[in-house]
Amino acid sequence: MSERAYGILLAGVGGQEAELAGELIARAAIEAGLEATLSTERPPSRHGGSAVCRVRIARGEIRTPFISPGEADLLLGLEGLESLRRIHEVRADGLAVVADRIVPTPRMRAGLEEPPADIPGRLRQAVARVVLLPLEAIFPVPREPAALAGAFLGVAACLLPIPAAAWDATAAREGIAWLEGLALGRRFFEAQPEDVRCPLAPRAA
Amino acid sequence: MQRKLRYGTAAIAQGAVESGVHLAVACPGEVASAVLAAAERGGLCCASAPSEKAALEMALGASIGGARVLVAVRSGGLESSAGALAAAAAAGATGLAVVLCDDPAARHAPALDSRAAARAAMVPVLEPADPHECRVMVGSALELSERFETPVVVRLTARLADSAGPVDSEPAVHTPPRGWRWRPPGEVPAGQRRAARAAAQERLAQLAGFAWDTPLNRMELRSPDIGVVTSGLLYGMVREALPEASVLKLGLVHPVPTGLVRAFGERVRRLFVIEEPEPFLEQELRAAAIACEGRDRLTRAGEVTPAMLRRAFHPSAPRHRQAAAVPERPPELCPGCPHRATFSALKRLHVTATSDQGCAALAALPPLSAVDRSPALGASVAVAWGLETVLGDRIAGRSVAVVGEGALLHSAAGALAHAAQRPGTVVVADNRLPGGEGSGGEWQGPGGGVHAPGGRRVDLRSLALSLGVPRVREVDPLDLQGTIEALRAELAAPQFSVVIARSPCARLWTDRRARARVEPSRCNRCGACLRLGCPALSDTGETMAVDAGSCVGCGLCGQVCRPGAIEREELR
Ligand code: SF4
Ligand code: SF4
Repeated sequence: MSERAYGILLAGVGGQEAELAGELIARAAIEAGLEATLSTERPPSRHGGSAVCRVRIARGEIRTPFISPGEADLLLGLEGLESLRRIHEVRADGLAVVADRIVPTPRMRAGLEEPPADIPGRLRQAVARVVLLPLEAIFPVPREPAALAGAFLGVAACLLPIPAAAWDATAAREGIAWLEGLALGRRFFEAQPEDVRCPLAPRAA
Repeated sequence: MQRKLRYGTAAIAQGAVESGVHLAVACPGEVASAVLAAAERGGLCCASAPSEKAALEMALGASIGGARVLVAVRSGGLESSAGALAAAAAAGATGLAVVLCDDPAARHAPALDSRAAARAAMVPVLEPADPHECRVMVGSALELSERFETPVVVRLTARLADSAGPVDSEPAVHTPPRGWRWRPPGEVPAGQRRAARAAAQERLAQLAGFAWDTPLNRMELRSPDIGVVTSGLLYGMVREALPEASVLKLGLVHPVPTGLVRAFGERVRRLFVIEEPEPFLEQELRAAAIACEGRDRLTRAGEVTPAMLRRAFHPSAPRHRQAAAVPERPPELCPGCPHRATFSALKRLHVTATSDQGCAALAALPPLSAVDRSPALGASVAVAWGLETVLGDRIAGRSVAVVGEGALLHSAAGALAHAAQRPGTVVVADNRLPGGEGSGGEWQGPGGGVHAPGGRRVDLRSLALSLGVPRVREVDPLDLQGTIEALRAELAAPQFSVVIARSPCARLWTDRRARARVEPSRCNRCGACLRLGCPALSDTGETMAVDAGSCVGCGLCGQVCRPGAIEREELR
């Protein structure tokens, strides 16, 4: 069987809810009758380390929850540096939607290291389509991590074959912040140019 | 039938609920706590044990009483309690499933292979391939345990515990425990011990026969060119990387079904073994004179990745894209963590600090860099004793062991009683909430005892005194100067002392009353505050800044700021 599977990578910093956002994408897919798996690397992210969650969604069997480097269709980057760390896992013709924020590492906070220059440019070199998600424009008032992560659900909702009702029900079960984020993320992404919003073309599962 | 997305750990708990498990026991630790928390949410009677050994023995007692029991063991925990597993096997424990999690990539525990420990204890091992099988194999393990009168290990790996997939559910079975089952004690005289061993060998022989046709093992014949023997979540990875290969998927990995593998090997031209982290199956097959290729093909020990399989079997496939060089983002102590304060005090005293594992070990990372050694859970007191014994005067008065309250009860209390016989200093980091809950997760160690019915908190002062410690004092580590003075006095004292550093874990103590604020006009950018390594503090280039969202107002940074630039802002 060679079902087509979507590979979605969520990258962020511990505490930004990347793992839970991935879980909600997978739950929405299952709610819509699809197959979904996810894999995380939990322990370091509990203490503010790199957080990553890999979600696979397909109409049929998914053999493994892992996505090989260079085979993710979509990167949802909750933070710039972590997005750069994972961008090689995305297909060259894939899509990266990345928050326009950088959370400094411990060495950067201590002034021992500078953040890499031109992160958006380096992301664009790696994948065909890069969209920067302007967090402050979308959330003029500071919001909790769940709302910000919810905006990435909104982006995923525009790209994956999952009915709106499944997204809304899944986000609502997790709380109002997720639901608000979902709506704002959706609105943002729907306003993007047509060539950016074109559907993903997944690979074999 | 309901389908829900579940992590491997939650699926294990679901399987336990559906299989009518009467009691779930675990010594808290990464994966074990997750299983226990999910079991508790599922309505199971749960108990927290002070150590893996105690957990296994508590489970053995319940098994002898006729109950179905699930024991969850943290990564690396079986190796320190293998004797208890062997004793449960010798006692012919029934209805006893032991869930454990190996960590082949050594992300949060040493990359041990618990199949070897289970083999030494002569206990069968099952390996689920995905969360759905996690659920199902708990039931299989309990049935096997009852049929063959042996504990059965269900082995997960960290990536399976941290993966989720759709899992079906079935109504829970509720059967009362079968009741006390008397057996002649096999543990006492040597002759009976030998008989128990012979019985265990006989059991394994029967299980090897069972392995021939159990649906736990599955032969999938496709191309005869390549045959792969594999287990666990590597099965899915192999299926994806080598869709044409024939596969023998082992659900029962010990005893190794050599007869079945031989039959499989006769149907393929080349036989490969894909496993992690050690070549356990491969060595067993070679010992049975079955020719196979394995680890040498993948070039190294440890975790097997999809990229590794691709390189090994499709050498001409295009190379994967390389990761960009990006600054590391290591894990850190949380804002307001009392360990930061304790280790800051030790650093200022220039002592050699031997630490516990867990959160405290993070104090080893820069900029705090205050831990010299953190060998294993509960090991710090004994390791510091050894260090002080050989280095004598060169280190006297300048060595401190730090042990968490849970680790003290897990395995360090005996070492503390021993160490107390001569001068020395041990810090017990007591991060429990005033009510008793411990640090590090939802399910806590014995110090907290909140989950024991009517649970009482262990009084660490009385414990230390009863172990023969002549001097015990308590400090609030967030009072930095007070802690430094107390430690200085105890290090100079002619007798052994325990300093209980009592302050709740910042993750549990969420009742924020204040936060720090930097007054830029007074900040001279000396950087003393940054050297604490608090994630809420950063250098903006002009002054220091406090992230109001993550600062919990512990007040530590204000105490190291000589010009008094860091003020405390009451929140209400
Ligand atoms: S008070 Fe200072 S040290 Fe404590 S959490 Fe806030 S910034 Fe960090
Ligand atoms: S210790 Fe005080 S003066 Fe020095 S950098 Fe920190 S805030 Fe500024």
